[in-house]
Order: sequence, then C-alpha cells, then structure tokens
Amino acid sequence: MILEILGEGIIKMTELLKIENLYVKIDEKEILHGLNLQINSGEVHAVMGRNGSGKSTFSNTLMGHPAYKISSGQISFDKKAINDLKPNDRAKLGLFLGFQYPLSIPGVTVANFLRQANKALKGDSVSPRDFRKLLYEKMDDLEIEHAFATRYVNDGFSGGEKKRMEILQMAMLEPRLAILDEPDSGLDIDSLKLVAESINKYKQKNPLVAILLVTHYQRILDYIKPDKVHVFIDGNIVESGGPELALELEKKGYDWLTGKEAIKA
Amino acid sequence: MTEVLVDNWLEEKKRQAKTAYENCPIPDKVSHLWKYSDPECFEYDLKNLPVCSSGKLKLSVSGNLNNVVIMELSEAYKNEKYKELILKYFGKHTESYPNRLALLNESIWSSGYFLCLKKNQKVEEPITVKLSSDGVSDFCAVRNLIVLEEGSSINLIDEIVAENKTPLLINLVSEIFLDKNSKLNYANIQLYSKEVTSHNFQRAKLEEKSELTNVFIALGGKISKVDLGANLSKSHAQVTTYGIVLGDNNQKFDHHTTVEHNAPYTKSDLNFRVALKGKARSAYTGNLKISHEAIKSDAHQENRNLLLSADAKAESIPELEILTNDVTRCNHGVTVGQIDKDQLYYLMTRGLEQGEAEQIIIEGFLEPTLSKIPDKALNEEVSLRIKKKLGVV
Amino acid sequence: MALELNNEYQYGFHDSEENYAFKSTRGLTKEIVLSISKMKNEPKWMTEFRLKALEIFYKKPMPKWGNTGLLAEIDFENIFYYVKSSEKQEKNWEDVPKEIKNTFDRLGIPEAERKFLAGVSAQYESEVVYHSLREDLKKLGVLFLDMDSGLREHPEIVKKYFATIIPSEDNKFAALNSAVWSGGSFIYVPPNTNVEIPLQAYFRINTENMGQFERTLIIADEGSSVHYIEGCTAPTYSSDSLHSAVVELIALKNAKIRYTTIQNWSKNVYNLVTKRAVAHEGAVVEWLDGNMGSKLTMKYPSIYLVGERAHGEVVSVALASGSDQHQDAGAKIVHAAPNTTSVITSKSISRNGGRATYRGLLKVHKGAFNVKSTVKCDALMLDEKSRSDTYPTMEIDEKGVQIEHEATVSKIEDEKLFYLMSRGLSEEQAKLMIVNGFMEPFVKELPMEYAVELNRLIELEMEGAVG
Repeated sequence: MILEILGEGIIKMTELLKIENLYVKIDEKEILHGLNLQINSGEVHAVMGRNGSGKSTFSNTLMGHPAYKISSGQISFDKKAINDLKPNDRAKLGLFLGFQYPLSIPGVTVANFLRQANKALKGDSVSPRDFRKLLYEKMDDLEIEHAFATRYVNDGFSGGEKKRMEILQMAMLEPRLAILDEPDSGLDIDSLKLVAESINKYKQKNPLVAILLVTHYQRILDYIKPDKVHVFIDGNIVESGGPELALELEKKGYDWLTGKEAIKA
Repeated sequence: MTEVLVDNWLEEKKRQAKTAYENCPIPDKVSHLWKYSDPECFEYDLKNLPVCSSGKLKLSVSGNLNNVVIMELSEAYKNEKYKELILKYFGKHTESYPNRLALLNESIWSSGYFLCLKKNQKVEEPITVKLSSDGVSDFCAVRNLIVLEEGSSINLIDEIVAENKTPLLINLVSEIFLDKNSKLNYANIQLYSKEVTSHNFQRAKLEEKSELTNVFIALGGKISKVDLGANLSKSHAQVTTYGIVLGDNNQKFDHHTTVEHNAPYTKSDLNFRVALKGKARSAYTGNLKISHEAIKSDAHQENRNLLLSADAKAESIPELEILTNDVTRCNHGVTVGQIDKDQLYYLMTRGLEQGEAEQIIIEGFLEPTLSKIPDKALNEEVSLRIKKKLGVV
Repeated sequence: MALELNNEYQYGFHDSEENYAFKSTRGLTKEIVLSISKMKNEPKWMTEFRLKALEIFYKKPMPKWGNTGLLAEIDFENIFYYVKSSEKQEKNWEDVPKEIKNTFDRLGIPEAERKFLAGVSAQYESEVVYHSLREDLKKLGVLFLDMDSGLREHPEIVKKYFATIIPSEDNKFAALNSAVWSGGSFIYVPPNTNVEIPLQAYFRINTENMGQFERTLIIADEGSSVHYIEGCTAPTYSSDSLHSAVVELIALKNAKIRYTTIQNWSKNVYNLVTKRAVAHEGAVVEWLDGNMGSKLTMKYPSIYLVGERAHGEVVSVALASGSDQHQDAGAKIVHAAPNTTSVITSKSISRNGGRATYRGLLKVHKGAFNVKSTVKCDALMLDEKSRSDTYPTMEIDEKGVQIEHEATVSKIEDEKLFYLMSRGLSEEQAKLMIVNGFMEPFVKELPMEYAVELNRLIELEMEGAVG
C-alpha cells in the first residue's frame, strides 16, 4: 500500500521509488557508479549537476532506455524490481519521463498520439469527445493553442513548444512518478513560469505524485519547491540536502563538491 | 624471381589485357553511365600505334621525398625491392571492376607513377607529382599505382597537365590501396587544354580504419569522363570526396562516383559542386551502395549545380542502393539552379557591382572544395585559374 | 517460371474455363488481335491501330533497366490475351481461402464487394448508387463509361485523344496494351464543370474493369475538375499474371485532374503500367499512387507540363513486403513550359526481405524558365533483410530554375521507439504508429473510407513485424 490516510489530511509518505547501488553502462562505458536514492510518494526531488555528470543517463535508465544497461544494483517501484521492464510497462506502472530533447514523430498528430497512449495506459474508457475536452483544458493551462492537437508530434515545434508539450503529456497521462529531464532548458522566463505552474497544478491536484526534477539551474526551483536536492558528480550523488543546497550551488558552483565520496545507501 | 621474369609477367599482363579488351564490346549508349557521353570518343585504334606502347608523359616530383618511394611505374617493375608489391596490387582493381577502357589502358600504358609508403611512415609536407604531355600527341595511356602500408600517411597532389594545341586522348587508370590505419589526402588537379579528351578511372580499396580524402578538380578538357570509386572494405574505413567542375564554352564533363560500404561502421561523405558557363554540360552520377554487412554505416552525398548561362546544361543522377536497415545515416541531396537572387541583392546593397557580386557567390560556392587542397601555393594557383575562367582576371 | 493463366495458382480457385464464351489461344498473333477487334465491333481505325501496335510489340526489346531478371521470366507465349469477360463464370465463395476472407473481414469490406474482389461475383451490387450518380453526371454532361462503350458511343472524342499521350511506340508494354486492350474507363468532363464526388471504378464495375489490359482515358476540358479513384486497398486476386494497363490524362487549360490508385494485386501478378498526363496552361495534374501488392510493379506516373503555369504533383508510396516482392515505382515530370512547378513525394517501406525502388526523372527543357521543382524520397527499412534503391535522374537544360532533390534511407529510430514506449505504447504499437506517420502524406489525401482501409491494411501487413 502506498497510501495510508492517518486521520484527516495527514498523508503518510511511503516508498515509491528506491534505487540501490546502481551501476549503469552505455556501450561498455560505465556512467553511473553505485547510485542510491529513495523517493517517497508525494515528494519533490531535484537532481542537479553539470553537463555530462550522468543526470540524463539516470533518467533514461529509470524509464528503461534499451541502450543503458544495468550491470548491477536494483531499481524498485512500489517495492517491486523493475530492472527488466520495458519502457511501456514502466509507463503502465505510473512512471513518466519528460524528455530533455523530445523527438518528432512526423505524420502522427498530437491528439492521435495522446489518445493512443492514454488508451494503452488506462484502457479505452474515455469517449473521443471527452478526451478532446480534457485535452483542450490541459492545453489551455499551458497556453498551447488548440491547433497543436492536429499538428504532428514535435514536428517543427520550437524548443519551448516541445517542452510545454512534454508537460501536457504528463498532465494527460497522469503518472505517479514524473521524471522531468531539464524541463526548463531553452525556455524564456514566461514559458518557464508557465511550465512550472502546470507542474505545480498537477502536483496540487495529485498530492501523492512524486516528482524527480533534473535541472542545471536553480531558477525553476523558485517555482517548484523541492523537498530534497541531490548533487550529481561523475555518475553519483555526492551531496544531498534541502532547498538551501540549490541556493548554495547557485552561489558556489560545483567545484567545492568535486572529489567528494558518493553517498552510500 | 628475376628481372626478366617480372618483365615477362608485365608483357604477359599486357597481352592478356589486349585480348580481353578486344573481346569486350563498346558500351551501348543507353547503358548505365554511358547515357551522357559517346563511348566512341574514348576509343583508340591500336593499329595506329607503332609499337605496343602509347605516348609517354613526363613525370616530375617535388617536395621532401624522404621516406617516400616514388618512381615511374615501368621502372618500379624492374626494381627487385618493389616487384612483390606490384605483383600483389597491380591490376587488382581493373580485375574487380572490369571495364573496356581500363583494359585498353592495361594493354598499352607507358607513363605513370608508383608511389609507396612503408609501414608507419608519416609524411607531413605535401608531395606534388606532375605529369605533363610535352611533345606527346594523339594518344597516351597513363597508369598510377599508390600503395600505403599500415599506419602510413601522406598529402599527395597529383597534377596532370596537357596544354596540347592538337587533339589528344588520355586514358588514365589509378589504383589505390590503403592498408590499416593509413591515411591518404589526395588532390587531383586536371589542367587540360580544350583539345584533350580524357577518361580517368580511379579505384581505391580501404582497409580497417584507413582514410581517404579525395579532392577532385576538373577545369580543362574538351570531354572529360571520370569514374571515381572507393571500396570501404573493412570496418571504420572512411572516404571523403570533394569535387569541383567548372565548365565553359563547349566543355563536357561526365563524372561518376561510386562509394561501396562493405563493412560495419564505415563512413562516407561527398560534396560535388558543378558550375557551368557558356554551352558547358555536366552529368554527375553518384552511386552509393550499402551492403547487408555494412551496419552502422554513415553516408552522405551532396551535389550542387550552378547554371551560369542560358545554354549550360546539368544532369544529376544520385543513386542509393541500400541493403541493410541498420544505418546510422544515409541520405543525398541535389540542387540545380542559378545564382540566388537574394544573395546577389544582399551583396549589391553593400555596394558591389552585379558582376563582382556574382563572382563572389561563385567563389563561395566552390570554396568548400578549394579549401581542402592541402597546399597553399597550389590552392592559390587553382583559385587564380578559376578566376580566369570566370573572366575576372 | 512460366506465367500461367487459369492453371493452378496459389489461392486455389477453381475456374471452369471450358465455359468461356470466347477464349483466345495462348500466345499473341495477328488473328487474335483481329478477332478481339471484331468481337468488339470496332471501327476500322481502331483495328488498324491494334495491328500496328502489335507489330511494334514484336519489334520492341524488353526494357534494359529495372528488374530485368524478373522481367525476363515473363513468357508472352503462355498468356491468354483475351477472354470474353461478360461470359465469365463465377467462382464459388466456398472456394475462397480462409485467410483471404479473414483479410476482407478485418478490412471491413462490404459483403457484395468482397465477392467481386475475390473474383466470385462479376457484378458489384451497388446499382442504386451507381444509377443516381450516373443521373447527376448526366445532368452535368459528364461522360463516365467503360472504354469499350466510350469508343462505341463517343467515337469522335476517343479518336481525337486516344493514344495521343502514350503512343504505342512508347514501350513494349504500352504496345502490348495497345494491341489487346479491353475495358478501362473513359471520362470526359465538359468545360467549367466540377465533378465534386470522386469517380470510382467501383461504381461501374464490370468484369472488364479489372482486366489485364485495361485502357483509361480521361479528358478534363477547360476549367473543369475531376478526381478519379482506381483500385482499392483490399487484395485483388487475379489469376492473370500480367497486368499491363495504359492510362492517359489530358488536363486542358485551367483544368484539374487528380488520379488516385491503390493497387493491391496478389503476389503472382506482374504489374507493368504506363501512366501519363499532359497538363496545359494553368492546369493541375496530381497522381496519388499507392503500391501495396503484386510480385513486380514497374510504374512511373508521368506529367508533361506543356502550358505555362501548369502544376504537377506525384505522391508515390510503396510497401515491399517479403523477398518475393519488388516495388519499382516513381514518377516522371517534364517541364516544357515556363513558370511550371512540380512536387514529387515518394515514400517507400521495405520489410521482410522486400525491395522498394524509387526511379524518377525530372526534366527541364530549354526555354522552360522559372521552373520550380522539389523531389523528396524517403525510404523506411524495417529489417536488415530488405533493400531500398533510389535512382533519380535530373536533366536540366535551362538556367532559370530552382530544383531540389533530397533522399533519405532510414530505419525506425531506437530513440523514437523509446519515446513512444515511454508513453505506454508497446513496441508493436509504437512501430505501427511511426509507420502510419510515415505514410501520412499519402493517406491524408485519400477519401476517408480509403484512408481507414489503408491504415488497417498496413496494420495487417505489420502484424508480426516485431520479434
């Protein structure tokens, strides 16, 4: 059981995702070296680090990208190992990855794509009309024009449009753990605010949703308050703390953490 | 094996080639690669030759020749030190890619060079090999053999000059072999007078991790037909081809390139640019093959044609034959058009005359290839010749 | 391999061929051509046209390009060139193999149509629809007949245009068709008339329509427009192993013709078709050409842009599936007038050892200045056994042009699969979605029912593509 209601309005946070001693390779090159992390339902975690520190490897591994091979360690979701699950099976459990570089799928409209994905995750329960209504609502939240519903997925979209489209997908597919890989990169200040508000809105509606926010910059954390902040260096978490850690990084950079030992389980 | 035997071997090779040549029909005009040139143009009646040998071009070599073996191919045959290499490589490409004109060459060649780099020899400073037609008329067959042993590298400039005032037919065959990890940066500059008709057949075989950069510049000649080919036979081999054709008057160019990916992780890139003035005509056929075995290949081809006069004519036939789906990249693109009016306008708003602006655009169009010539002086010389052709100096 | 007609063939229909009213003997002779013409009671000029074409057929060599190996297997001596089809006997529905019936089922093909497609019924029972359509067309003055009736009832129009676009000399198969043609459609649209609903070969189907050597002629007079649809997505089972049609389109000044084909011949059929259009001043011609079936298809719909500001467009898609299938398709556009424009879009998919070839020609004649043309060829290869070729030719004889050609060959990218799978789609669903997206530029141009059917067909073809 994930959800335990302890009296009125008090929700006990229970373990949702647990990563133990995770080693990951791509093309025989080890990128993650014994990573440990636990995320409970309802929590917001921020993962920060430089380019090339293994953040994207981490998020892709969580979602089950076939190129990233787990050489040892375990990823559990709802206390069940998911190491060997395909990406679609992970999606069915409630994982979602907002891509850093969303891909275009020419010829496939946003509406068709989301409807099929929705059907795959939740079964064929919604009528096309209700689905469209829901889609338009969520689009309005993100200030995405309805015309985008009939455009091809990410085809010819600007960087900011792609990022908003990822959040739209999250809002439509309603995951329990949203891994958002740099949802803020390449956004102007207005778009950033919009994206952050949408994430918050989704979180407010679904307080048990956990969010793993992978980012370069502290700025998005002004809008989305993390419970925990982790610092990635060379494929490991070397420092964890509260929101104040992000501010410290903003001031001091990453150098002071270089060479620190990985945090053990 | 003695010198005499080598000689006999060579004579035997020529005899065999002659028989094969006589039995090989003239290609018909609709066959692949022959739609745009008359096959008869490159034919030569062997009865017209007094001895079994064609006109001989003069060979001169410049640059620092330490660690480089270079000599007349006919001399190399007689040299005990190289006979093994020659027996191993000579005629291998003409055997693999049978073709009437290469057989003609093999039965009658007299000029040409042998260049060899021994294992791990790296030559930085460019070597220039110049063949010139001084005093030769009518017909000559030229044969070159380039062998780079494992780990060697060189910048080689190959200039062929024929300033003949009377008709000359040149039949050129170059065979190139690049062993593991070797690197050849090869610039071919063709400086023919408008009396020269030529057929140039060049094939290269690339072993593992070897690299060929082939810069090909065609300015002269009356009718020039060129058939360039690279066989990426082992993994991680790569070939980059840059071509320039600049034609005017009644010049005809018929260029083919063939790139065969026959092993995994091979890479090819080709950029062929054609600019035509007057009644010049160019046909470019680019064939790209990726075999079933050549997984993770990366292949890109680009052919751009700039038509500078109403009577110029360009043909482009870029072909793909792909037998595996596991390619990293495989594409080609072609454009044909005149000078971009927006570019012209932009330059003219900066105060340039139309003629100047056009010239700048054409030079810019050819620049990506020109800049690949590995020798500064030569680069300048070629640029000057291009300017002359464009009528600006 | 010899091509056998009415012998054993893979789908196992039983054909009681003795009952045919007239069946020519195998092989092609002058006598056969004469008797075809006589039986149809044709005017003398047509008889002479046929005989002349026969001479050309005899003399013409086989094409020296394309899949010459497969072409060489055609045994012209072993083909029946004419079967008087109105007398054709029906086959038994019970004899139609289960997998074919299943395919019809899953494609949602209406009952009556299935029987026709399976060769069981000679008539497609849509007489009501057909009649009302015919009344509407009649009011507009539109002629829509089978070619034989067209020749009988409107000899002056037929004589004026017939074989003016594709002369018998064009190629060996055009000559063959010219000698023995039978059936096909004849359409004439009067000036300034818009035919709003697409005219479908379905509606006036008789056995001759799907014949081996049909001949279609469409004339859109000045300022008129028409959309013609030929074929359908359901498999067309034919025991005739050689299908060689000739289709001629004439778009007069400011007229518009769109011609949509989806062929899904069974895999024993050689589909060697010559299609050509002429677009006069300001006219628009569009070929939408979908190739799903056959053993070998060689088909390159052509457009000659002979009047100023004419526009031509070809969208060609091909699915080559299995090592016994070669789709050699493409397009040919000739710019022979100034300010003409053209677009060629080719999409091919090869899977399971299939071979898909794009072959194209783009020609700009001297004096055809200010021409714009874009050619884009995309090939998608679904496995390592398949093959994709691209053979485009561009011949440009005029400087004032803007020509662009691009071709790519690719597979389904792992990253895209991952992206879609991360949203919950299975690998199979994700692949299908990418393939459907790839075909979208063609599918979106089709009338709804065709689009739905084609998507289902692709889905069926893709089944089992995983693993």
